[in-house]
Amino acid sequence: MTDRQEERRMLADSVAGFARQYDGIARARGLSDGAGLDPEAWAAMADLGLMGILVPEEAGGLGLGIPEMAVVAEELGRNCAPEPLVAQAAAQAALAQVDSKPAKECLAGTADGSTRLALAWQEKADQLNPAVITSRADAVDGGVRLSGSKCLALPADADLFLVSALDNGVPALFLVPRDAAGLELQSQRQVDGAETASLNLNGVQLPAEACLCTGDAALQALNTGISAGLTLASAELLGLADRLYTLTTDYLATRKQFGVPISSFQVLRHRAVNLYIQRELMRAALNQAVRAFEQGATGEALQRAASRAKARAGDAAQLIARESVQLHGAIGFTEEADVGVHLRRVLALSAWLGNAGWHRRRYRTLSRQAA
Amino acid sequence: MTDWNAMSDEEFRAEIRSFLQQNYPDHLRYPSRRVRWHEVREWYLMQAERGWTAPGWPAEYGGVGLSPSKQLIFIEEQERYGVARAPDQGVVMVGPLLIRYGTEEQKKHYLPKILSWENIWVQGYSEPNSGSDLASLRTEAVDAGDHWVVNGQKTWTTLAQDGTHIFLLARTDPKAERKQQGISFLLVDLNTPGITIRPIRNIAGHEEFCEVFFDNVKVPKNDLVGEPNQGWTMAKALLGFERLFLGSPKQSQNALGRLDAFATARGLHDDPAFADQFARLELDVADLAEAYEAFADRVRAGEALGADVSWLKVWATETFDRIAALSVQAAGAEGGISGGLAAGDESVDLLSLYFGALPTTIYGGSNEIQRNILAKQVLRLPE
Ligand SMILES: Cc1cc2nc3c(=O)[nH]c(=O)nc-3n(C[C@H](O)[C@H](O)[C@H](O)COP(=O)(O)OP(=O)(O)OC[C@H]3O[C@@H](n4cnc5c(N)ncnc54)[C@H](O)[C@@H]3O)c2cc1C
Repeated sequence: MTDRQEERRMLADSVAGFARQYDGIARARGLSDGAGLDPEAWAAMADLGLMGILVPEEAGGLGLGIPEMAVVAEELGRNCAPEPLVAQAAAQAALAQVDSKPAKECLAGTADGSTRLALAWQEKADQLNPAVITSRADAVDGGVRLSGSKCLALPADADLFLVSALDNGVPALFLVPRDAAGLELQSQRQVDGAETASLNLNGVQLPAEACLCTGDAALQALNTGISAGLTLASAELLGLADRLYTLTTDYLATRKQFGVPISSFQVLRHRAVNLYIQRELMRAALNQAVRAFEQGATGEALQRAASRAKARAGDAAQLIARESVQLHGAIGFTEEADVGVHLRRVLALSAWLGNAGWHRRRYRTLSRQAA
Repeated sequence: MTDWNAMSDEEFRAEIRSFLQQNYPDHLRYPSRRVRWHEVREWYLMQAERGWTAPGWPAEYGGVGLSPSKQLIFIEEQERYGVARAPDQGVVMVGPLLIRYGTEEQKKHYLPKILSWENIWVQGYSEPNSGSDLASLRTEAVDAGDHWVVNGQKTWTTLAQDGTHIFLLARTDPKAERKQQGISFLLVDLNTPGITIRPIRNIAGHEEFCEVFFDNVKVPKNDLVGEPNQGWTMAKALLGFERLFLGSPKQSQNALGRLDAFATARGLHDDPAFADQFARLELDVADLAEAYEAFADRVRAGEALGADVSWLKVWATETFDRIAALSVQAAGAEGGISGGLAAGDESVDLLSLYFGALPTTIYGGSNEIQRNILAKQVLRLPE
């Protein structure tokens, strides 16, 4: 094993250790029951360093990359952990592209768990191109004023939002505190119980330093963050799918009907094999996206790799989740069974940042442009 | 002599690639059906002259002795260039079998003739009543002192009409406790009296395989390989990393490329429904290629592949099948026209893709059998 592989294995082990101590499924149930997130688990994750993986060392993080964060995301998925670590990592990945003091400070806060950060770039549910921006930033005395709206920002209870807006027609990124004057927040509940935020920017007053970067740098930071989010969501979906696969094959092996384990029925054996194949494909698609980050891919090459991972992960995880319910019979349709808790996470994650159909289209468009 | 294994992988790949570009006949690239021996004979005899019939065999037996990773490259480059397959059962099966289990005499007699293509071997496993359940085979070989007497029938024997020899699995101990135990591996000259070969037309009208009948055929005693009744075990032991090639993405990549050319010329990519189906397949192929590389890495590292490689065969062939099905849909009202369809300056034969894909899910262990293997040996589901 190479040093990097060894390092990643240790990371996976330490997340698995965390998961043994903190039951992800119980927390995920708590979240859907309206109890919110467990602050103790959040703090423990921060202590473990999981929130600082993408944060540079000089800002108190571990200074690692997307490959390492993907290992963490997969392991958290395997444990059905409901914390929006991946969503925050997307914002961190964007922010890490910005070389400025406020960006560093914000990243430091995310690394120790004291600050929660969310990307707020999307303006309409069906508009997933970050270059299409209608929100505006207008210069005012001693600062800027933001107007417009954003949607589907995750987590909704973030302390800071990374917001895109046009400044004189040029894209720019701003850090917006949740208590900023003129910011109106509304939340929408996801099927897994997590809340996403809609932001009404009613002339939000910000100091000039709130603008982190402009122009191509802003779009590039945003795109990197979104590609990171897509890749990490694919990793988390792989973890969830892997756990569903294990739950389901274990159930087939133990549930008896007609006097035999139902795993003896060939129809079910072959369907289980299909789930195995889908899981392996998810891993293959994820690996190429992780490699793209490792090799320093940028721009459209990176977007294409990320879309490819998300297209596979979204479809395959949904298939595995639906089949898991079917293969469990009625118990699979209950709140009591773990299958459903995973299925709800799968639904939420596979829609986040665009579903499989949308990413297939983008992959195709980018491939044809590249050819 | 060149030490091919000492070359870097990149150098070796470039060498093979440029050799093919300079020497391989254009009209034989990407054949639309399994080619007959007379069509590719010249090319393969030329390879034999160069000593390149069996790159994977050890040099002491007349091979090139390529390392697994170089063999992979060699095969990948042939596939990439669309080189027509030889009737290669001698190289792929009989040679390695004899090298491992054969007597000195058998090796001396048969190996050179495989290398020179003087002998062309065909595979006699399947029978009318023994396909997936191959171990139930009934063709029998009875001990008659200094020879065996073979009676029975083999079928689906690929290109037996072009063969000079057949290797058989035949029952030598009908009383064995398990059906796998009473089977032996025999080498048989197809010119022996009592053998009748009858070609069978496939669904596309080509005589791709044959029935082979054995009526009191005398086979010399020393043409049994290994120990009597060990044929099954030996045949299984031979399934080495060749199983990887059943999961190669090349057929699907080539098919998708042809569909793309057709769709582009006909403006089909502007149809959102078609575009989505195409993108789906494109991703299916891309992810297949990624997974294939992960298995190939294991081969390159000298690892023996486990039963898990079966999933690649399932995915590769079913992906090929879906591409073929979409191709015929793409042809619309011309989907039933045989031969090439006009696509810009090119002519694309979509039906040949369709017929090419159909048998891939049947042979090499049908996909149902592969799923059985996976369920048992990889998923370990209780039966
Ligand atoms: C183009 C082509 C070339 C070939 N060349 C050769 C050759 O050169 N030499 C040779 O020996 N053979 C050759 N074969 C034969 C091939 O190996 C057999 O077709 C294969 O083993 C399947 O056997 P079968 O056709 O008798 O189908 P069967 O075994 O009768 O199967 C019929 C159907 O039932 C399914 N089935 C069978 N058993 C099970 C089970 N336990 N569980 C679930 N489903 C099952 C199969 O998957 C298939 O769908 C060739 C076949 C083809 C198509």
